[in-house]
Amino acid sequence: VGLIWGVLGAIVIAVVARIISEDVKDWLSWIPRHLIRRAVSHLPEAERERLEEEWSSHVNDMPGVFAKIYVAYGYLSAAKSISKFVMSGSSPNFAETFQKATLRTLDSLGAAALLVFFMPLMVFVALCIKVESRGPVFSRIAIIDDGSALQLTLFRSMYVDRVQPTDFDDVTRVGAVIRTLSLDWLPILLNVLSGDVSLARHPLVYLIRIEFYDLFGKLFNKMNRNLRLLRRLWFALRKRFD
Amino acid sequence: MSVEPRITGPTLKVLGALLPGRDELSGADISRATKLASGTLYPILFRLERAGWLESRWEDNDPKALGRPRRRLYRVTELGAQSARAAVKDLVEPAFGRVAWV
Repeated sequence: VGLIWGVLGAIVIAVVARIISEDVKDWLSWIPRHLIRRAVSHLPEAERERLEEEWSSHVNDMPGVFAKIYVAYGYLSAAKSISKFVMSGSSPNFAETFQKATLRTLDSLGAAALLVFFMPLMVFVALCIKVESRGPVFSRIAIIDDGSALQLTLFRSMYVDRVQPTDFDDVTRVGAVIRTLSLDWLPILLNVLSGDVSLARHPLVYLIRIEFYDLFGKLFNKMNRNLRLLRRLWFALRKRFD
Repeated sequence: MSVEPRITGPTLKVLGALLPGRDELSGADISRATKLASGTLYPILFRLERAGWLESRWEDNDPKALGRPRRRLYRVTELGAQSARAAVKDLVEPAFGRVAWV
């Protein structure tokens, strides 16, 4: 009798396990489809059909159910990003346009004022560069700024005739001084004036901001420490008098 | 709407996967080649296609005959190839010390 019960129990367990595993498999294969449908619902109407089929085909190409879920989960952020891109292109935001125009005006005015202020220093640096070594006063550097490559104008701080990768540290004497004082960045104000880059992204502004945060960060920490000490003192006194 | 796409590391990876040989690749192929997650890849493909740097088409076979959804195949356009090369040139040249002197 015990053996019969044992066999029956094993059969029941096997059947239940089979049903559960089938169920789990179905649920797991439902998740990517659900995620795709959810993601697609965030898209503009015109893009839905195409991307749903395309994304389903990508998920279908993935081996294993967890990889499918991972890929499908990514579509949620993809859909939001695509939707944002489409919306920004189709309806120009007045607030954004106004903000951009204001920033551009402030940048131009700020850069013009700073250029006038620093002009004597810049002329002096330019003369020093010209007198010390052969070559032009300015050089250019390429950077990636907000996803686009742009060329910034700097004061030349290296010898022109030694521009090989191995000679990259051939800095002129004037170059060493202007690099130490960060004066080689000053001509970027010309880039700001021409609208290539914002004044807020000027390396000197970054430096000032770092110094500013450093100074106030230290002050804040000190103040915070003193406040904590006062609080502890207050509690100690209250305990004593209670 | 043709907006110049942002040149980012992932964008360059996508173009790098599609440029050699100018083959047609599906999203899954590009994802495998670039190791980019779907959340990053598809917005890039979408932007590049809108900018005219990529073009895409459905694979020819019938999905019913295939028994699976159709793949969307991408390839780089002439404009895309030229623009990508120009962008890469802009970025790579100074890294090798070939600074452009004014």
